[in-house]
Amino acid sequence: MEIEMFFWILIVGISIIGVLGYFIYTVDKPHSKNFHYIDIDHDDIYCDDDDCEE
Amino acid sequence: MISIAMMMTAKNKSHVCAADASRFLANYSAYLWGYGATCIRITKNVNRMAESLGYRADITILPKHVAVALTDETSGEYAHYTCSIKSLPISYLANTGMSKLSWDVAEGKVDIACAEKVMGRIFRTPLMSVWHVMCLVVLANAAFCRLFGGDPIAMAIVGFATLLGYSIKNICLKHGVDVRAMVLLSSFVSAIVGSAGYVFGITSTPEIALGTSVLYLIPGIPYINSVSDMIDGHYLCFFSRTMQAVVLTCCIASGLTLAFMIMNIKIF
Repeated sequence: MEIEMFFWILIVGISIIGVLGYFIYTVDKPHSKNFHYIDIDHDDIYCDDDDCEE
Repeated sequence: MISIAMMMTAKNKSHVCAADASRFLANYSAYLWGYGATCIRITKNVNRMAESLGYRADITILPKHVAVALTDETSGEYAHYTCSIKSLPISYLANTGMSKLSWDVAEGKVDIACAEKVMGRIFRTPLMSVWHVMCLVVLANAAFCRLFGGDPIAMAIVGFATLLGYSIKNICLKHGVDVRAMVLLSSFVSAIVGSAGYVFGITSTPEIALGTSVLYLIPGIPYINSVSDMIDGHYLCFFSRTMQAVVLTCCIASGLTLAFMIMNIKIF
């Protein structure tokens, strides 16, 4: 079972280091993470242009 | 009421020629498909809008293309437009926005030009935060483990397996890695983490932890949509969606099997 433990620690360790390394590397990069619903209010969202008919 | 509807139809018809309407409706269908709508939903929404514009719509939905033919039964004006289906992330939020848009067009609240702008706005709407989704997926997958009889340690293993696999999935998606390769890699890593119960003997339900560690990758929406398409008689779309889902399921199985082999787990 020792060899399986070794493989488990190796693969999981590489994965964790890879993911954490990626997040640390990209932490100062601009990315969109804003969450908002599509407001289905017609006046507010659907038509803010002059050429949209009411 | 009927006269109001007729007036509205006449008003819309005077503004939209068949060519413009068919181009808009084909684009709309392509986007709606991309957002994960079923064929019956696409057909209903397009027919609703076409009727309000005074046209009869005949829609051909293929696995990679949508064609909309519009006919004005009074004047005989005819237009046909084919559009490639967009490759978009599945979004019920966008689906809701698109359905609302179809009702607004049908009720005459927005014209075609405005509707195209709204469609662009829906397309540009940011997706739900990756971190929110990740938390929910981790909790959901751990709950699945509990549902199948896993103990709290198995749930923790599944939660960690999901966290790691889902992070890899997001990184791969962000960098445009092939979806099949992404699923295979995520499945492999999640299964390796999920095998902790066997390797370290820390849980009494290791098989449940291992089995549920990859459940978050199952392509549920394509499977459900394919059944809907089959019931509605869209057999080409049914077959296309089913094959997409089957390929992804095979990738999950491959990752899982690879993990079994490396961890020397002999379940079968």
